[in-house]
Amino acid sequence: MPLLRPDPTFYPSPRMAMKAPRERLAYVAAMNPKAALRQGDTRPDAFLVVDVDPRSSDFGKVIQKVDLPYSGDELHHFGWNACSSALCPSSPHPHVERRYLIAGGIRSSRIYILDTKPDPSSPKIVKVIDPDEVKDRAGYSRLHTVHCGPDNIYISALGSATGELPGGLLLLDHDDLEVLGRWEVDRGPQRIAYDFWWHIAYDIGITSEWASPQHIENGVDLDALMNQQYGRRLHFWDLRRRKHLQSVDLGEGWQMILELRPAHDPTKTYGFVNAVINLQDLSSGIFVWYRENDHWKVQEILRIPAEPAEEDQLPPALKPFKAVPPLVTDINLSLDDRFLYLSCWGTGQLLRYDVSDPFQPKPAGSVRLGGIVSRAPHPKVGPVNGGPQMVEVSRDGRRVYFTNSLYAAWDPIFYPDGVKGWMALVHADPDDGLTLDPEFFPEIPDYLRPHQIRLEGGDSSSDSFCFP
Amino acid sequence: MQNATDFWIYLTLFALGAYHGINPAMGWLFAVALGLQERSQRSVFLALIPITIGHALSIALVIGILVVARQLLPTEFLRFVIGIILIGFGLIRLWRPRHLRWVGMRLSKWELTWWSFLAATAHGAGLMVTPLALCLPQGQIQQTATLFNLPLGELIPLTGSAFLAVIVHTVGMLTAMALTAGFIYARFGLALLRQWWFNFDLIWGLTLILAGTATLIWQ
Repeated sequence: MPLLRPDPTFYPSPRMAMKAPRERLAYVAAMNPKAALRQGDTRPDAFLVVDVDPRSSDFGKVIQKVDLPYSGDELHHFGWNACSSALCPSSPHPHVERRYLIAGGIRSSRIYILDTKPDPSSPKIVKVIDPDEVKDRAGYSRLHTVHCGPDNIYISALGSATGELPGGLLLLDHDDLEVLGRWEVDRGPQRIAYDFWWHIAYDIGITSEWASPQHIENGVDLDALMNQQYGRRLHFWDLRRRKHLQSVDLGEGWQMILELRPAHDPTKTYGFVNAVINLQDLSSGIFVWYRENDHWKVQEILRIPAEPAEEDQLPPALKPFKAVPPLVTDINLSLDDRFLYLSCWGTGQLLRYDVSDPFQPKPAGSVRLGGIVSRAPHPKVGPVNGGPQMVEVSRDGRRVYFTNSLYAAWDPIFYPDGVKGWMALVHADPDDGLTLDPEFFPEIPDYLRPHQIRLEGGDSSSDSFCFP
Repeated sequence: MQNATDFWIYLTLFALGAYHGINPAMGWLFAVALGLQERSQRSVFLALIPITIGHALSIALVIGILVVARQLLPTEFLRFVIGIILIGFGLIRLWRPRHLRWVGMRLSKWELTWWSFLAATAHGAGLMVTPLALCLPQGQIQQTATLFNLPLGELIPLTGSAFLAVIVHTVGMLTAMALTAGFIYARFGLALLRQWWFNFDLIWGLTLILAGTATLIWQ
């Protein structure tokens, strides 16, 4: 049934979205690594609903676990069927609901649709799209980012139908939630895929590069990494004509170019991306992309160095280097484009930078939790492993939620004792620093590892805005 | 008496134009977005020009077809057909509200004209005007004509009322768009959208059905 007024969670501009009411629920994708890696345990992945309302007696608890009907999907990223882009003036349709969560298995390529109505705290699986249907219709597999576009739902995929390259984008019809097909008309030189977003008011799409499925699904392929066969480039696209415009190489030694965080303000033409590792010194880098004379350029703005460590503290793969790489694997940008959050999964840090001037980031707080060597404690449970990984910022920018698992096949390389899944909350004061919430530490079922978090009503990486 | 009736028809056409104009999906919202993007009020009003032209072309297309149809078919029959089409189209829009799938905001003025033409056509803006256009006086060509044998020389002088109908409707539309876009851009801001953007597709569908029913009954 269509609404009479626009969905109240849609905002014309990011400024207005920052004044949205506080989220009460968080949805968390959680996967069973043993099922993903076919290690005997076939319990399926699950969606967790976490109560994040401080007035609730269940604050900080998992209040619902929605088991998937199949085993071994490896839930990873997910998104909404509709968001603020429904207000975009070229095809406005704001009387639809932000209601369905769309999640693709990064291993199975299956798509799940969850209905968060009528009871948002107890979503139900209402549709499952078979992996073969995704592969047949779109020619892609290994599903990743989900974004609600003005015309359809966009999903990025790491691999082709046969699990090779190229990976790319596919479209899901946002009315009947059927796979429409491949997005690209002309992909140019793009082969490797990972994340995807846009400068929606400039008709510019952006994609990043992780690696070919064969280089990730069985762990890190060191030979391929040393030969720089992992991703190193950004791609810029003409969103209207679905045509590749330009590739930008981040430079010698950089490998795995992951999360794309364009400025939320649609008048701006810059954004941030993390490069996970530099082969020379194991550091991570943050780059800003920007437009100059109709050309896209990148500039390194931050370098997070590796931390020296004793050999016996390190997992086998890192012993020869005598250092812990920071492994900045996720970043997130507050809706006012002011604060950039960096997850250092290796060193166990959450860093914040003031990026009001995107070319001159200023440190603005940090929190330590977990880490390969540091195992920094949480006030509620003591030392933890894993480190800040998937990070999500509330719309008002005052709360930052994060989880600690990266990817089933890679977790044991860096945390051989087995990542014990957790989720944490940091309070972010714009004028002061970051404070870890001492109470918020939901108990996550032992066999599950949490990954992406989506907040009720939207968050800082769920919506696109057509108005400044 | 005839003149008084005409006056009311043209006034209603103007009002329908204004009704189309205030629908955000018809273009004023696009103009505001472009103005905000450029930080320029001028851009808002400049964008309204191609949007208005695109809308007028869509209306003119439908009315043009009607002008020809009126030469070839009996008015009673046309009234019946138009009534059925309007009700059917309205029902479809209510049953399955689809929106224009358009990606892209950086449009040339020609592309913006085309966008507006598509938006108006897809919403059945021209269809909504047909019952009124049917009530306007239009002379009949003396000789018997067929679709492939239309004496254009005789037809064109008879299109004055139709031409005026398009103009009046378009002026109504432009007035409403300019006022809405101007006030939203300069005074009220977009927060208003969240509260006051009623589901036009719903009202639109109902209007189409209403117009169709009236056409069928009003013999």
